[in-house]
Order: sequence, then structure tokens, then C-alpha cells
Amino acid sequence: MRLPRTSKSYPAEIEELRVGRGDYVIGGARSPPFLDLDGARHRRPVIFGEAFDSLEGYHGSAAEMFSGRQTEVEEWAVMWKELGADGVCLRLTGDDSTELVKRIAARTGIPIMVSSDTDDLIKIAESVDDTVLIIACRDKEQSLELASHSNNHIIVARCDAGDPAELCREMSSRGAKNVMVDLGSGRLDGSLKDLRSRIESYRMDGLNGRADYNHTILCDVSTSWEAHGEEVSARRASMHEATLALTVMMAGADIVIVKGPGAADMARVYGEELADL
Amino acid sequence: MIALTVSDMMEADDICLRISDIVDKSRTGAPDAIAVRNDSFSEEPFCSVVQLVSRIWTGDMVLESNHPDNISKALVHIMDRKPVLIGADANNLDGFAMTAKLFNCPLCVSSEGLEELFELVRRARESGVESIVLDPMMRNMKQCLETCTDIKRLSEIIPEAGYPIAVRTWSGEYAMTMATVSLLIDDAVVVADDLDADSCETLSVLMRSIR
Repeated sequence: MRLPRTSKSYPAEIEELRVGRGDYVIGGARSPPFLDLDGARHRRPVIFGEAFDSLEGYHGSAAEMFSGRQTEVEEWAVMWKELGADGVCLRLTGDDSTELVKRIAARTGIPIMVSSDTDDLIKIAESVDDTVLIIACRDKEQSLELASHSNNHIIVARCDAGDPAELCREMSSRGAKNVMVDLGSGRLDGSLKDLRSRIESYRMDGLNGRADYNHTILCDVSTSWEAHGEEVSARRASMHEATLALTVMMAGADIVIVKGPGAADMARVYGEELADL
Repeated sequence: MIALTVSDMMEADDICLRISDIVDKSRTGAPDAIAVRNDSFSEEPFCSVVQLVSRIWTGDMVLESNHPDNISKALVHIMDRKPVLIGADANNLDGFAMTAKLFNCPLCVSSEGLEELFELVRRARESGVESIVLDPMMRNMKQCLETCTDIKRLSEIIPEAGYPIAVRTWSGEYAMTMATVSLLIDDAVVVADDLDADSCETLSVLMRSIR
């Protein structure tokens, strides 16, 4: 029996973004995730680890995995670099955020993503010039606001619902030069089916050349920890988080935010194997 | 289906402990099947272990052997359970097909090459086997992604590819990852030598989340 070939080709590629000092590249896919059958680019999604400047409300089991270095955000960011994360996602609430971001960027040399309130994010975006930041936004309104103050940084289009292309177009019209889409946070529950479907559809629309569907996709899976009480073992929570990371990477996420180092390590290894690196 | 294995080389007491462990894990939803492995290559103790497992375990069963005669002898004792039969390949397909048809059990056919795999499907169908599972003998998660996707696409073109896929894997976190990849691509039949409680719980939550 001679089998028909099932390989497919696509008319368009996903946008490529340079972050940090230009030495990290995200996106650029020309096939469904990892699929050599369709000529995949051998490039894995990047993994960003979370670090907070305040531990209020932070999960106790997760905190135990950072050997005390989570009490100081700069040290925490350095630890993520030592753990092999591709970048660090800073969740900031303090007043000295701009200087802190500059110090962490200089000390770690890895790409930085920042989330904070709108005024702080604007100050950070306008003050930091020597590294390309990813500005994570909590909702559509913040995405639109930051689009007007983007400098050369990448602004995340937060679109849990509605048409992501419409938001990206509006952000571009307000001045955002580089946009990344966030189609919703990951949770290992009934919402995952819809999120997977949204990520897969967005990715395939991009590969098929649909206008404004070619942006890179961000997915935050650190939210998987919200399903666990404080009594959960770090191992079980990390397995949930890593499985969720694998799920969204296989759907098409180009950048994944994780809470735990276990999940970061597993997600990186999965990505390397699937991308045949 | 996610099955964990019991070897017919184990002592009876160990088998009871093993089944008890699998029953505990299964409360989360996975595993939902036990695979009895004919590691002894003999009719006995395979038949005895299959009987023992069937008395304690009420979920789905899988029988795994390279010898269709051993499977036939074991099936006599559990005719109503309709286990999935694993072990059919190009060398023993006729015996397996006869057994699967006689006992009306799903038959898993195995080959590393897709052309040969679909030829086995064609032969099994001609022998009267109706329920078939495809085992392309995937060894790692990359191969799992590529092969499962290829088969899924082929199923839209040729009928021989339109059956569930089996993933036969080993133990530990890598086995869980293989299971995850196959479940994300298609609704696979996963047979793992062993998975710990955290892995079983994670897989069962994943399955509930994506279906």
C-alpha cells in the first residue's frame, strides 16, 4: 500500500519579535507547533518565570521552591536566570519600579516582561531604552493605554474575549510598533478546551495569511496554581503547571509564563524535544 | 483509556498489592484499565494472573502477549470482559485475528512502518475483526506528535487509518508526557508500565479539561 503524503504548507509565517537586547527571538513559526511533517522551524517556545516584589497572596508551596531568594525580587530574577529560564516576568507593585527593572535587566541580561498598574507601566516603558521589554497587560483597557506609550517595547494585547485582530489594529493605530497577543490565562479545568481552541485557531489563521492574526502568542499558565490549596505538594502543582504548559505550547503558544521552577524545567525540556533541538 | 500493567511474573501477593494500588489511583479517573503482560511467555501463569486480576478489577482490561494461543487460553476465563488484545504483528496476525474474532475483542496491531500497519489492518478486517487499534510503536514524544498527526490526517483519506491509536510506554514522568502528547492529539489508548499517583491525577484532570 503506497500512502499519500499528508504534509501541508502555509502561505504565511508568524511574526518574529526580538526581545531583550535583540539576542532573543520569539515566534517566526511557519507550521503548526513543532510539526516537522509541515516543515517546522526548529525553534521552541520561550519560558518566562514569575518574580514578585511583594509576596502578599503568593502561594506557600511555590515560595518553598526558591530557597528564600523569593523575598527579594532582584535575587529572585537572578535565580530564574540560574535555573535556565529564558526570561523573567516581573509582577511589580512598588514605587521604584523603573530603576528596579533597569537593574534587573542589567544584572540578568535576559529578556524582561513587566506587569504593574498603568501609570507605572507607562513610566517604565518610557524610561527603559537599552532593552526591549514585554509589557504585560491585565485587560484590554490597559493594552490600549500602553499602546500610546510603547516606546520600542512589545505591548501585550490582552483579549480574553472578542476579536484579537481588532484590538491589535487599534493598538497599532495608537502607536504600538510591536504587539503580542494574550488569548487568556491557562487553567487545568473546563476553560482549557476553549483556550486551546482559541490559540489553535489564531495560529492557523496566522499561517493561512489572515490579516492581523500573525502575532506571537503569550500564555500565562502560572494561574494553574490558583486551583490548589496551600496543602498541595509542589510536585503535584508543578506537574499540573507543566502539563498545562505543554498543552498550550502544542496549541501554538510562543511564550509561556510559569510560577514554579519544576514546570519551567519540564516545559523547556518538552519544547526542546518536540522542536528536535 | 489509560492502562497500567501487571506482569504475570509477579507473585500472587504482589499482584494483589499492585491491583490495590491501581484501584487507589483509579479513583481520580485514571487509570481506567489494567493490562496483564505475558512476561513469562507461558500459558501458565498468564491464565491464572488474568483470572486473578479479573476477579478484583472491575474496569477495562488489556491482555498483552506475543502468543495468540496464550491469549486464547486466558480469554476463556474472562469471555464477558472483551479486553483489548495487544501483540499482533506481521508474524502472528492470523492467530490473533482468529482469537479476536472468536471472542469479539478489540485487536491492537503493531508495526513501526505505517504501510505495513495499514496492511495488517486490512488483513485483520478481511479475517472478520471489527474493532481495531493501531500501534505504530512510537518511542518518544516527538515521534508521537508526528506519527499521530500523520495517521489522523491519513484517516481522512484511507479507511485503514481511521482507528484509535495505542501508545505503549514505560514508567515515570516521561511516560506521562508521552501519554499527554497522545491524548492532546487524539483520544489514544495508553498502556504504561507504571505511573505514580501524581501523574495519574494530572492525566485525569487533563482529560476532564480537554473533553
